[in-house]
Amino acid sequence: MKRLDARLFVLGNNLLLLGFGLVLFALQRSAAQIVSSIGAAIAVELLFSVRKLRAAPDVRALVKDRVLSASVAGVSLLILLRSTEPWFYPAVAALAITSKYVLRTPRGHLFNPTNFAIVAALALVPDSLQVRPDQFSSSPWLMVMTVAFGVAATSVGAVWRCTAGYYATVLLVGLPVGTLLLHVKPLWILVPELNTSTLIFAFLMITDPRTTPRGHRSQLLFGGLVALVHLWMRSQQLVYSPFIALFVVTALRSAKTPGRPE
Amino acid sequence: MKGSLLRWQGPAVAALFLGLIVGMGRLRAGGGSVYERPPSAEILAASPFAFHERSREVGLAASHRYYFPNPDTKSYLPLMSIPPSISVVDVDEDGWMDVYFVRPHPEQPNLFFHNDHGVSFQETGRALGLDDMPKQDPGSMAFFADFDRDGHTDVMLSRMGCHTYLVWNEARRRFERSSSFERYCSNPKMVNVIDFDRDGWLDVVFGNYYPDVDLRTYLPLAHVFGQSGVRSGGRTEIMFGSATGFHHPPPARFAALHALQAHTTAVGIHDFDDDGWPDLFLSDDYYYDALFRNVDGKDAVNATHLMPYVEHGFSGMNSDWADFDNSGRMSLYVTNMYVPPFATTKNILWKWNGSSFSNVAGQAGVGRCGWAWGAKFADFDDDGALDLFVINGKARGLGVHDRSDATRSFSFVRNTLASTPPELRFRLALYPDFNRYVQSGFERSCLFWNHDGHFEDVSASAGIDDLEEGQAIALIDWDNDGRVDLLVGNNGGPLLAYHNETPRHGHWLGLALVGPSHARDALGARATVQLASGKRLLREKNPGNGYRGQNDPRLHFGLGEDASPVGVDVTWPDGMREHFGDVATDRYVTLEQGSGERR
Repeated sequence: MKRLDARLFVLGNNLLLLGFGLVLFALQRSAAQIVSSIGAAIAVELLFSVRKLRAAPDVRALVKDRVLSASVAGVSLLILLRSTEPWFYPAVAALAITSKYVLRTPRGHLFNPTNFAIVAALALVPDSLQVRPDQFSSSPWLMVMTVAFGVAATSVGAVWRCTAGYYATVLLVGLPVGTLLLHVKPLWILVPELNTSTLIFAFLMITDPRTTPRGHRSQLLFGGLVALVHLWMRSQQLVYSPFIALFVVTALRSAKTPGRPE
Repeated sequence: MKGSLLRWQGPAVAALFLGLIVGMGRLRAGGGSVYERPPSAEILAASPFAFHERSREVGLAASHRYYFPNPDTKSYLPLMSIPPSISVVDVDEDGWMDVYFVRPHPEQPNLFFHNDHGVSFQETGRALGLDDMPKQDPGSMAFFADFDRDGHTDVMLSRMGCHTYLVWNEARRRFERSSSFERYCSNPKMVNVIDFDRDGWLDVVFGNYYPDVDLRTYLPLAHVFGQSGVRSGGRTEIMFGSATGFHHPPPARFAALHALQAHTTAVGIHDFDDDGWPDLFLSDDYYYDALFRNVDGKDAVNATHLMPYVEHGFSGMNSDWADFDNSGRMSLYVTNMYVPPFATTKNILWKWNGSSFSNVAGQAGVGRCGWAWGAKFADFDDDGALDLFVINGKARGLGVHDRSDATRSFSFVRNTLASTPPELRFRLALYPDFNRYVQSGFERSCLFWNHDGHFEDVSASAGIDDLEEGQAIALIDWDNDGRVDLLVGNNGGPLLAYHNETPRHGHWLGLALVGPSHARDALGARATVQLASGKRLLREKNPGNGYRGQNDPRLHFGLGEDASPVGVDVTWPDGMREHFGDVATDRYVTLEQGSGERR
C-alpha cells in the first residue's frame, strides 16, 4: 500500500481549523485573504520550480508535490497570523516559499517556511500582524483533533521523536525548574503547552522532515532544545517564544549540519 | 570558502531578524511606542493648543476608586473595575454647564457640580437627590434629558444591575425616583438616548457589556481571559419611551439586535444613510463591531457588512461620529487596543462614501494611541477643522503606584491564558497574584491636531500629559469663552478638568438647538453652518456619542478667520428643515424649532 504523504495530515488539520474558525469562532479572514495567501504560495513555488519542472520525467507528480507543499505554508500562515492589511498574507506566503529556495545549501532548505515567514514578519512588519490564534485555541475538541492529525503526521513522517523530546523537556525540566526554583504554579507551566496553537507548533511545525534531524537521538535533542529555549523565553515573559525558539535552534543546527539532502 | 559561507547563512539570518525584533522592543511588554510618529519640531512649534488642568482651582476635585462588585476577584480586581462616567448638563438652564460625576464604588456618592457663572463649581448632589446613596447597585452612566416632556430635565441612571429613572420635582426642587420606569436590570457600560421611532418620546439604548448576571457573584474570567470571537456578553436593548413610561419592544422586533450578545462598550448614534431614521453603531469587545440600520423605527437590521470585516479591531471601546474633513458626511471613530506586541489592533476611522465604509485612520494619522478608550472630536482651536482627543490606559495592580513598581505584564498572562481550555482557565488557582502587574498603565493621552487635513499628536506640548487611566471623556465649555474644555474621568484616579487656554484661536459659534415643547432636547438634530468662504461645517446633536460621557449639548463650530454672521441650516429630528440667516458669531445662540425660515 502506498504511504500517505505526511503533509496531507498537516494540510488537513489546518484546513479544518481554518474552516471551524471561520464558521464557529469569528476568525477574521476574508475570501480574498484566503485565496491570495494560498495562491501566492503556489505561484511562487511553481515559479521557483520552473527549471526542475522542465527536466522532470513526471511533471504532474512534481506539480502535485509543489502545490501540496505551498498549500501547507499558505494555510498555516492564515491560521497562525492575524492581519488586517490586504497585502500581508500574499506577501508572507511568498516570503515563506522564497526562503526555501534562497536560504539553502546543496542539501536542502534551512528553515521551516512558515516559521521563517512568521519570524521575518515580526522583524520586518511587526505592526501589521498579530500572533494570537486564540479563536480556536481554547476548544478541547480542536485540541484532540490536532493531536490526532499530529500523531498521524509525525508517525508517517517518522519525526514523532521531535514532539516527544519537546514535551518530555517541558515535563522533566520545565516543571521541576519552574515550580522549585521559580515558584511558578505547575498548571501555569503545563496548561499553555496544551492549547491548539502550541499543539500545531509541537506536532506539525517542529516536525517538518526537511528541517529536522533524521537520527532518533538527534530528533529528541532537537525537540528538547526548542522546548528549553521556549520555556526560558516564557519565564522572562518574552512573546512569540515557540516560533523564535524553533527559528534559533534550526539556525544553529544548520550551521552544524546544513539541511538534509533532498 | 563557499561551503563555509553557506554554513553560516542560517545563524546570520537569525541574528539579523532577532536583532530587529529585539531592537524594536517587540519581545517584551512596553518595549515599543504605542503612539503615532511624533510630530516634527516645526509642527510642534506651530501647534496652537494650551490646556491647563484646573480641577482643584475651579472646584471639580473628585476621584474614582477601583471597584468591582465581586470580592472574589481579589488581586486582579483593578483590571475589571467599573469606571466612572461624566455628564454635562445645564439642569437649571442658567446658561452655564453643570457636571455630574458617576462613581460606582458603594462608599463614593455621585457628585453634581453646579457651575457658578464659569468661575467655580459647587457640589450639590445630595441636595438635588443625585448623590445616589446608599447604592443598591453600582452606577455605570447617567443621561440627562426631558424624558417625560414636562419641560424639565430628568435623568436615566444606568447601573450594573437595576436602573433608576429620576424625574425633576419642581415643587421640591430635586430629582426623585419615578415609578414610570419598569424594573429593568442589565449590565451596560454605556447608554445613549435618541427618539429611535420618532414618536416624540425619547428612547434609551442600553449597551449591555456583561450578560444578565449578578456581578456580585460573577467571575469575569470567561471574557477577561476569553478568546476572540466570544459572544457571551449582554444584549443591546432599546427601552422605548411613551406617555405611560418606558417599555420593551414586542419580542418579535429587534431580533437581530438582541441576538448579537457581544460585549458592547459604546453605542454611537447617527443617521448615516440619511433616510431620516437614526441608526446605531455598537463598539464591541472580543467581536466584530456592529452597525444597525433603523427600519422606520420598527426594527434594526444588521448593516455591518458595509464595514470590511477584516478591519474590525475586536476591542472596540468608543464610537464618535463627526465630519472631520468637512465633506458633508460624518465619519466614525472607533478606539481599540494598541498594545504591541500583544495586540496591534489600531483605532479605526470609518469614512462613509455613500455606499460603504473604508478605514482611513492610518492615512489620517489617528491609528495609534495605546489602549484607547474615550475619544471625541472637537475644534479646540476654532480654526474650522475638527481635532480629536483620545484617552487611554488600563489598570494596574494595587501594588503598582509607579511605573517602576510593575514587575510583570498582565497582557502576557492574559494572552497565554486566553488560549487554554476553559475547564482549566476558569480555575482561580491557575492565576498568579496580579498585585504587581500592569497592563498598558502610565500612557499619556493623545491630542490630535487637525493640521492641513492630517492629524498630529501634540498632546505633550499642549499641556495634556497626565499618565492616569483615562476612560470617560466629556466635552464642555464651562466658562462660555468659545474654547472647548475637556473633562476626563479616570479609573482609580482623579477627575481631570483641562481648561482650554489656547491663545491663538479663531472665531466661533455655539448653537443651543431647542425643539418644540414635546421634544425640547432635539436629539439627533443636524446643523450646517455656511461660511462666507463657502466652507460648510456640519454637526449633529448626539451628546451621548463617545464613551461614558454626555457632552455639552450645545453644538460648537470653529469659524477660523471668519467673524461675519453666518447662515445656519437645521434639520430637526422630525424631519423639518429650517434656515436661520445672519446668525451672529463669537457667542452662544439659541435656535428654536419653528422660528427659522422653513425650507
